[in-house]
Amino acid sequence: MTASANLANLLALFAIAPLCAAGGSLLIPRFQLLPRLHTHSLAALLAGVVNLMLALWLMASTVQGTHLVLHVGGHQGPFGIVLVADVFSALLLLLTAVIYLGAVPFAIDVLDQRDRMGFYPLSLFLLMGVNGTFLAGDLFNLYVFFEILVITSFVLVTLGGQRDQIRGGLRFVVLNLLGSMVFLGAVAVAYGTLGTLNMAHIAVLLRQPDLPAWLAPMMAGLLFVAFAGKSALFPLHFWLPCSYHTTHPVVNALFGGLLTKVGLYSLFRLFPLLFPEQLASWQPAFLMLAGASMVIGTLGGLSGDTIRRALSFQIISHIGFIFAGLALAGARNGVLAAGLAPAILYLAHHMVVKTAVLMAGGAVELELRTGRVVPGPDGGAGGLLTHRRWLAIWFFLTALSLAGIPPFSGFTGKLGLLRLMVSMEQWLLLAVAVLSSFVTLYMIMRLWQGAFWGSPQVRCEGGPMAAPTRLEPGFGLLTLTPIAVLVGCSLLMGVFGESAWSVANQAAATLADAETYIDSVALAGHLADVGH
Amino acid sequence: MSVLLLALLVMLLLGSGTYLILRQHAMKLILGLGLISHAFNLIIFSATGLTAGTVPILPLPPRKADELPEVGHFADPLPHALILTAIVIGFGVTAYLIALIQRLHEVRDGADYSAGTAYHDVEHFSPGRTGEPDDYMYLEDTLNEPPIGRAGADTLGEDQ
Repeated sequence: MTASANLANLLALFAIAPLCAAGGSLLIPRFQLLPRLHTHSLAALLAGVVNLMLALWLMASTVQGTHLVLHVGGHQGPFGIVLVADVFSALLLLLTAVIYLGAVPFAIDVLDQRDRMGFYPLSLFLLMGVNGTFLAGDLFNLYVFFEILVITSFVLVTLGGQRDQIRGGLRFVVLNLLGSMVFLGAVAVAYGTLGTLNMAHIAVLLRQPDLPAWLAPMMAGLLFVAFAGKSALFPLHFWLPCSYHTTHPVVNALFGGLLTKVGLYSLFRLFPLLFPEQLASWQPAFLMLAGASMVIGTLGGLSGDTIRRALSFQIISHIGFIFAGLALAGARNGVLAAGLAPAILYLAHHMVVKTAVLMAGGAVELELRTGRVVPGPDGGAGGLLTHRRWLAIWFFLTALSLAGIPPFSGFTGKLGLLRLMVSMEQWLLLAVAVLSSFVTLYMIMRLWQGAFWGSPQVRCEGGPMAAPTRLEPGFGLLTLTPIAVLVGCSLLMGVFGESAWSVANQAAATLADAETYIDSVALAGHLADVGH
Repeated sequence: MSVLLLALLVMLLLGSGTYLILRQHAMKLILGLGLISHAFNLIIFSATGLTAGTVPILPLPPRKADELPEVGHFADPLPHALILTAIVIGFGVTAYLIALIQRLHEVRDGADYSAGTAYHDVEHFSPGRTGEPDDYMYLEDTLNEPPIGRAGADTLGEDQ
């Protein structure tokens, strides 16, 4: 107990390390150390490495299904701040660490003046917010870490101050702000009726038989609206397509990998733990939202006129896939875990591959100086295949993984979800999912064709492609290596599908097992005794 | 009774906030968001019931070790702490939103940005290493120097 309690202190480092690095880079003036490296990017790199090592340690120590619980400052139980890590948190923290460490070299390579406008400290604050959200053990700290990450993303989304960025960013800010307020309303309802904000304690108290019937649905509804907005689920998705593509490719890659996934994490964490009944009884509505997200995301991706717009819009369809897994899991009474596993696997796949494909898409856009690669009257024929062969290869591989072609991770995750749909006899959803996968494949092949095929000399008259391709320096190893590493992760997750499944199963079992969660948080706090 | 009044007030704030947000006007958007955030602060404030005329400090008479103190008439301090956090966050975001809207007006009026110029049509992907000025210099200029040609900049008497 004491040993694990001491080790649990390391959980705080997930927030402290990025915070120190960010604060340090704000205090220390930025000066060049190497031609490409300055103090800020060095701080980001170091924090990213520390974060990755911490995440690896956490993964190793929780993969058996154990929980690490830190009662911050020694304040026990439901009254103090609790950080809880289980294998699901650890998995997402690990993926976050990998994505962040991949985005930093990309930023070092291709970032423009935004480098001087504080991209690195901001990205570190973003990392801190994401990490904290994955670890928070009570609703209010979930809110606080959410706000850290959301406010940082407000600044990152408008960093550069372009006209389109401000216009898209304004919608982004307003909708996320409203989502946060709804979340705050849920916090108020929880504290006002149950007198606690600790998630485990809420889970215990919600099981009391004599609660008012409106309480759980109301809390579940408020939290669902808040997190569906943050994760860009169908009716609340419109802030994403109007803002993501306006940002710098680095920011876009970071957002694509991390931002919406935090909302999904919260849904995955809270619904099986607190509202299993609502998860089951609201299943038809949830499935409709998931299916609508798949359709909207896929069609939006198809209609996107620039490469990053298409790829960003397509995130919504993946959110639909992952959420469908959660919604399907809800009805399998007693076997919640069996339903959650494919969704978790798909979530892991999506985070890695989306970042990789957005990096590759961003690289294409930087190289061509335009994102309009969709074949048509005002785009296409980028002809990058001849002189950017490696970029072409990596983009092709990420595209295959995105569409779910074996042996990449997209296949195993998608197969699991489709099998789940078959076993639940959700034929309509199955049809939508399969169709949207094919349309995704078509979309991404069209992008590939437009960006890489053709001769670079043959240009559309007067169109944006008339700008000369920048054949000199451009990006190099620092851009291609992270993409290659992320593709490698996807390939490993696909080839060693068995191990990936076992981790996903373990994470799903931990998520579905509310008792163990409650017990491990309550270990020192004796929640049952301090109930109302 | 006072709880009912508070509930009506929350309703009023939420209603008028929503109305203002839907007006498609930048200033009304900010005001509307402010009203809505105050409504949610009031919801938290009233979450644990209203206690009048007391402080959120537990009286500590001498007592035995295992005995819980008499709570009695006592204001719960936690909602106060929650509201404080929420107010600070809301204030910061509102300030940022105002800055954004200000920036939107600047960019809209700026000579460098003709209407309808999309992000991709602007040739700004010349990363710092080439040394040629690009669009982001525009932002840096507005950050580092008093903006030229705006009201007030000339009257400051600086060495322009």
